[in-house]
Amino acid sequence: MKHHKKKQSGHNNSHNSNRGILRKPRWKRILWQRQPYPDNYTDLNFLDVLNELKKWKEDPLEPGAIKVNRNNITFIRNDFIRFYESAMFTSFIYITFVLIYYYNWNPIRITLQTSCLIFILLFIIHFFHSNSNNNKPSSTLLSIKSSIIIVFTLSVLSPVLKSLSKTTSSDSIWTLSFWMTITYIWTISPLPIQSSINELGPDQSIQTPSNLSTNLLLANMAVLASRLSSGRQVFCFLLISIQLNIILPRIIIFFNHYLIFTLLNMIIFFFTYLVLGLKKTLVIASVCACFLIVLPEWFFYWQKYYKKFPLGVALKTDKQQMNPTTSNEPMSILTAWDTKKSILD
Amino acid sequence: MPYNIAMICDFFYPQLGGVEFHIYHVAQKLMQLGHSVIIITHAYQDRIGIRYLTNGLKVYHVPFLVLVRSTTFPTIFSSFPIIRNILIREQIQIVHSHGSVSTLAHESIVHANTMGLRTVFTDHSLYGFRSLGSILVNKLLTFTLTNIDRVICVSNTCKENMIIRTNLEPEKVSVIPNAVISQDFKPREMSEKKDYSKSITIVVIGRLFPNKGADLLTKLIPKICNAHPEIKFIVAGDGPRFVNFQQMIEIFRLQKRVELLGSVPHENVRDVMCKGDIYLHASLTEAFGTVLVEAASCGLLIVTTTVGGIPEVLPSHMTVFAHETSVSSLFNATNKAIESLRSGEIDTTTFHSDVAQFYNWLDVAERTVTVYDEIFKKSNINDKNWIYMLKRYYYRDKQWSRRLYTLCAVVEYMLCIFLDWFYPRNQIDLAIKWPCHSQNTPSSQNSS
Repeated sequence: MKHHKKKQSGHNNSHNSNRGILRKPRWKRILWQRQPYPDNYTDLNFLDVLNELKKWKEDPLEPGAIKVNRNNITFIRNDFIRFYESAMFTSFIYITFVLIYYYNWNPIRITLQTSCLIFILLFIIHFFHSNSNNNKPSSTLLSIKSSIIIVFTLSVLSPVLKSLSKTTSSDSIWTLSFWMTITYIWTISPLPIQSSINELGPDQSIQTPSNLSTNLLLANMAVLASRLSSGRQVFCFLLISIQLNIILPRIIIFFNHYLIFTLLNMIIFFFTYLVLGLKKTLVIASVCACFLIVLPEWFFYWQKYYKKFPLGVALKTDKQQMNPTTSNEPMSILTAWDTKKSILD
Repeated sequence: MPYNIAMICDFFYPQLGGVEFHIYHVAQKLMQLGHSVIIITHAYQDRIGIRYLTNGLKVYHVPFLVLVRSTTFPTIFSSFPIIRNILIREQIQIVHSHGSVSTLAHESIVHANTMGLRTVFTDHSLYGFRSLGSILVNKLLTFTLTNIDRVICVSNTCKENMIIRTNLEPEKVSVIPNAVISQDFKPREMSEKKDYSKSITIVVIGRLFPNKGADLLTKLIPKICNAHPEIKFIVAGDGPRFVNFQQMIEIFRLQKRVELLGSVPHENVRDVMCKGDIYLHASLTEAFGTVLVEAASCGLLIVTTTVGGIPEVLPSHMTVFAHETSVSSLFNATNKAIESLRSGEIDTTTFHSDVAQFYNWLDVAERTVTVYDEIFKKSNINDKNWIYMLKRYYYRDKQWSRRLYTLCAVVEYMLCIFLDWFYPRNQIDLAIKWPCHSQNTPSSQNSS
């Protein structure tokens, strides 16, 4: 790379020597006409771009170059937070499971408490956000009907689920559940490209979970349910898990995001403290903090190399001759050759 | 001087596509110029072993494990024994690989360099920098092209993309466009001039994928049909968006105006094109766009987006550009094309002869031979020296990758030494060359 510019410019200088200028027409960026230049001729503007790029790579934050946009960090952090949230909601399955399985809490009491909480929240939404949401009475009735069906299905299925994988050893169940949780979080977390495209902000872009992720969640719960001792416990466990993992994430988007986020975190870490002790909780908390604060910064740091390298004013003007309506923002080298987005206006 | 050339690519006949046609036609024309060409690809179903195509074009179908979309399983080293054997058998001097996503092409370049042969690589498509797939392809390409002699790209855009992706020296990269066989894409014979005010047919041919602009088309076609009641559409091609086209026809009740043909064999593409007056191309990425040249050769006016290398391909009097990849921009461009056909300001009858002049495979082959000549003219004794090649690998990329590259190269050299001992060169039979009947073209006379 070091010498090619020199070589090329030398090679081009010979083209542009006085005699050359007189005889040779200017090189054009076309393929349908043979031009009096060799096939390996390189656009001079592009050579300038290459030179700029080399300088940029040596010192990406050199003054005069386009400054790295600090706003991008918000988008990156939002992606991380969203991923963290999906993991957080999943951890409630384990909290419920541990409370019922290990601490022998009364399952009915927990179910009543969570159900009440969900009902109150739904009630608040129905009254305070009904204008924005266009909730028709018929759709409310329909959701009540489907919830009743789900509750009855669960009550019918719970004895089956209890005995379904009874003969499998507990170690296998924990491993199976672990991997299913990993896969579940993987499938439920929004794709990074999608989340950076939609600029709705963190609150509105929670996607409806796909069939695959819902099935994984149910499979995970079914596997864990076999460790519980009675049909009632299984029923309550399934119901609570569905409430916390499917209904709750959709409800909380109507409330103050940061408040809910802090509240849920406090519940989780308090529980971790009770079960694992202070030391381990601190370790887990610092890993989480690292994930939420340090990792996005690190990710952002790596972006500075390519993120907004301007693809050369010279090359752009050349392209603009053919394409006069190109938008005025400088083309980024990162996206210049990407598949363009279709604008369905 | 006639060369012994091996064209290597995962994609070849019986599969059909842009890369496959390119390899076939260039090989045929190189043979016409007096060179000896063989093709190495992987086995397609029961097509295993050696096959001969037209004019004795020898094709080696090597049984490799096919991973996905006709690409062989990448192992770097496992193909070395068989590739070495073939290259020695055929006394190959130049290994010419095609396609960034062809594993076989990449591996052969590394093997050929190790064996001290000259290597050329042709790239046919554009790649970005921000998806995991393209990052991997770019890294792999950076490794394999470290000791390449020359690279050929199909358009200037493709060349610039290539240089940024792989950090190659610009003078090593030549631009040689694709071509068409103009006899195969003759316009329809018309006894009298068509009256464009009565009806105009717009043709769309291509795989119905999102990156080919299928989503744009499903929005655009109803809009055009609504604005011009006399316009008809013919859509040829299959793909994941085929259902969306069917739905679009159902929703807007366009059964009588939009004809969905599904997949069309390549030999019938000309007949489909000739039913139309305008060719509509809504692709969102394109390195060259051979189909545009084919359509222009059939005498169709081209309406296209300006992505990738498309603006370089055809002169402005044959095309109407949509400067954005948006429905409205394409709609305006189509309207402009319809208007200019009706007003008679564009004469499409000269398109065929113009295109025949612009692009032909013999020209492509001659320019490729110039690239080969350059290699030998500007060759250096250290080009294929193992120590020097190792040094180039070591100074090629960043901390981690360059060490990996060097390690791979060392293993490759050890494998080469082992093979030279285990299966010595003098024990490999040399293949008898197909008798060369070079046709009397001026350039072949020069070269012989």
